[in-house]
Amino acid sequence: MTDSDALLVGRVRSGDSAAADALLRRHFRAAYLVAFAGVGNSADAEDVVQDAFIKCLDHIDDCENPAMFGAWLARIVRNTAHNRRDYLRVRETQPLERLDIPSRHRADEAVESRELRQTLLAALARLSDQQREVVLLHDLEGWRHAEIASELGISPGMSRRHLSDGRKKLREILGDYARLEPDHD
Amino acid sequence: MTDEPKTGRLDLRALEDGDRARGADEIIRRAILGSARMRGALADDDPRDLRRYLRPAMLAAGILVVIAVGTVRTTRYQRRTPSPITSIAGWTETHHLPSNGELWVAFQGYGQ
Repeated sequence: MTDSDALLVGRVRSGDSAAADALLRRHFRAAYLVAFAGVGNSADAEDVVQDAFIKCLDHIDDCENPAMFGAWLARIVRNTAHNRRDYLRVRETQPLERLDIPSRHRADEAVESRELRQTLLAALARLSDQQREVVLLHDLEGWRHAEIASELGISPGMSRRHLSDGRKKLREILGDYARLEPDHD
Repeated sequence: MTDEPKTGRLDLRALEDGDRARGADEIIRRAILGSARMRGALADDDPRDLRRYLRPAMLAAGILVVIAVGTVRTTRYQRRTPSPITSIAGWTETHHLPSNGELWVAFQGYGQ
């Protein structure tokens, strides 16, 4: 039987590094996707996750509801990603939101993974942060709404709403690029 | 229900970056090492580790002390053996001709 988040948080507070490892490992994937939703690329998302994990460990006493550790961590990751995105905006000349979506007549080329990736990223950048997080956790990671709700600190109904709105917007943007798979939830 | 079941989920697998340099293991390890709180906890652990590692060394040192004390006591006992004069007097009374070995023991080698 695995230890609950609340139990692991208690052990982390007493300086147990093994508990910290288990807790961070359990929430790594969600944290990574929330970070990815914020910054739009893997390298920055990994840096964001690492920074957010350090903040989370250093301020673990501030986690008021250890049973909802995932939601608390997601907030830290989201804030860290926003800071990172602001920094990247200043540094780079072409922010994520201005990436062009390839024209449809280049559909054959768009199946190339790099271009498809760019296309998806550009489309995702036009969603709200929470729509993007829910769409990634649900459609990429295969999580159910109850899990997403718990991890992001929202209700399952709100998770469904974000997914529906996010998908609708993505289909409008992507058109023929939007490949569909059977739903799981 | 706001979802649209007939449309299904979007295929976002192209977003997965196959050549990602770092994995969860390294990020988590760096985060734990980078956290001042966890570093403090790890440092607090060190004296305990030290005591654990020192325990066998202390045991070995104790054994060495016991052996050393035993050796010193044995040497002192040997030094309380009869003096050569006593041995020679005894041999004279009994008209005993000492062997080389007896002379060696009586004089404790060339020490006396």
